[in-house]
Amino acid sequence: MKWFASATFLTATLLGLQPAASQQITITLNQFFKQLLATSDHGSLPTALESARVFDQIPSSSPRAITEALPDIDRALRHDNPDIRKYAIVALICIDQRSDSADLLLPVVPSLLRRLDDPDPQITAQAVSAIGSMKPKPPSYIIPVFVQFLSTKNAKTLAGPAVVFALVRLASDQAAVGQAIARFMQENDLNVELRVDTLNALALRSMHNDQIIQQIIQKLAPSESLEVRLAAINALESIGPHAVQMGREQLAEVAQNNEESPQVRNAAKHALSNPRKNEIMY
Amino acid sequence: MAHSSRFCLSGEHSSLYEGKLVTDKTYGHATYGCMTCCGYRAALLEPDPVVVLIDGDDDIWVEALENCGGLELNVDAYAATWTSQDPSIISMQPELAQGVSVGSTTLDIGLDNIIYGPVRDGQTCPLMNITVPGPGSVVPTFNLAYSAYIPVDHVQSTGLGCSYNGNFVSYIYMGDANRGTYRTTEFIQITPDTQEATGFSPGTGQTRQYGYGSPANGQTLSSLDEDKVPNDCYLWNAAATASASNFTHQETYSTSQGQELFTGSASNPLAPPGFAINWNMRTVLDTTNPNAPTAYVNYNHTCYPAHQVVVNGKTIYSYTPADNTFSYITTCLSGISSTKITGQTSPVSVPTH
Repeated sequence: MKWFASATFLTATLLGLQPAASQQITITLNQFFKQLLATSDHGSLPTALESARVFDQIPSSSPRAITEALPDIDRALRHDNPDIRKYAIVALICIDQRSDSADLLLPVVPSLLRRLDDPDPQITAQAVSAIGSMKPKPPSYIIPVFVQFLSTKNAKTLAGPAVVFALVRLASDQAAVGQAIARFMQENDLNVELRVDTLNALALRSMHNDQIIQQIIQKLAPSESLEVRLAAINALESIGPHAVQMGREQLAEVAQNNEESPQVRNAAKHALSNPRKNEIMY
Repeated sequence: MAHSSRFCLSGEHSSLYEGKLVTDKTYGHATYGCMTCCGYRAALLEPDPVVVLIDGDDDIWVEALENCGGLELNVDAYAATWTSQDPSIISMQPELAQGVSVGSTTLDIGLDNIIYGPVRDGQTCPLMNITVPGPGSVVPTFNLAYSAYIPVDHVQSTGLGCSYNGNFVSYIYMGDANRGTYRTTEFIQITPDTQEATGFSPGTGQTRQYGYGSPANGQTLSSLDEDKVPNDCYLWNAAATASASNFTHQETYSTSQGQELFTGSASNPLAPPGFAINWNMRTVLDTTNPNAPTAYVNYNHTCYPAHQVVVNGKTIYSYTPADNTFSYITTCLSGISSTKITGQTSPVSVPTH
């Protein structure tokens, strides 16, 4: 609250208003990051509500207002304090909601890509999301960077599924993308959470890559955990009839296996019995 | 000359025990020597003490030391009565104690026609009726549930969105308000006085995503939104369930106190990873006064969504987020440490079961 009060005061001063009259004034995105960088060493950071009141303005802000804030957002993105970096990414994610976000955010893409080496895997995943969510679509040069990233050690964190999520939505038809994702899915040291997150990331109708679908089918194996098998069934079903058809034999095996968990068995039966005729076969 | 020896009595386990009889076949003299009447002693109600939960029951039995063999044997066969001195606390059936209300009482088991007492050499073995008392108590037990839920009908979340007829659409996600659903949950039954915890159950609720045209009635998601056509960016679009594989629980105990620590994180399975609900909730249950137990929560969680802890049906911690906007949700789930909600509640009384 103190942080917001001082920020409000700053705004009021800039506008030449008395503080009492400025209580309803919310600072701009540019002012927010100036204040954030100025106070970051004093340990007094804005609350979620204070931040949200600033970020809520983003959809209706002028492109110029966004552009003016970018240099300080970029500085925040490279700050030593991981919390400051996260404020920057949240602002970028909010900008991503705009239809012109890809154009607006082009200058910060290099800084976002540097976050692929961030020591905090959550920040890496968030940076990937910030890039992958740009509209209408992010610059194409990020695709090979993401593909390369999937073979690094950092990919075996939640950043890996985040990259998979972005790649299948941006370029699942590219052979290199299919190969990289299929290779990533074969990694033995991915924990259950990462396996499930990866399968959830692939649960997309436009995911046409048979190499990846084959990998999803392999996750139906009894050696996989219940959660992984459920996520694999859901992924096949979400991708559509083509994927279900490819995995029909394995799904039938699961559906008929009396030693299988009822939850998994029912999910397999549902996938097999629900051809989703409204979808286009491809 | 004929000689005979006679058992004092026969019983299931006790009787005339192995002894010796010395006879002088020349003069007909006999010395009874060591004929020993072996009964029982040191009878105890087991388990000691009998501890049961309200509406729960426990097997009970009587054990006694067999005087000559030295074995502890079950003597329930002699039990004629199974009585509780306070049936409003524990009610009794043969070999079964049932918890009625929290408290302590004495349980009496009447053994009939049993040889009981010290070893008696060469005497007749008297049959006795004795009462074996034992302590019994009913202790409080706690059904402890943590859950996180979206307190409104629907929200917008991170992700790409989709395109419908050339228009960009931001997905909305079904909330939990008025649906009795949750995003994440952990449950366990914990009994501090017996230092037991059972039935741990982690879970995540299904995430449902909607596209263009939702909510169809203009206000809330309803059956009108459920078109069952996936991935078309129109009305219901997708569903998935987040992993609960990293949800943990840990119990610690001290005198008249039990602590339960629930931790975990989960993210929207239909959105890119990196934004997660996080929690670290320690609930401290105090049974110093077993009839009026108390509980408090040491909490640390993300500022979105709503979080609550319920003990035996009573909500002892409830947090409602200040906002439900996209910006607020994204900020809260980003993991910025200054946005975490931390603190400790005051102890409040909770039901005994």
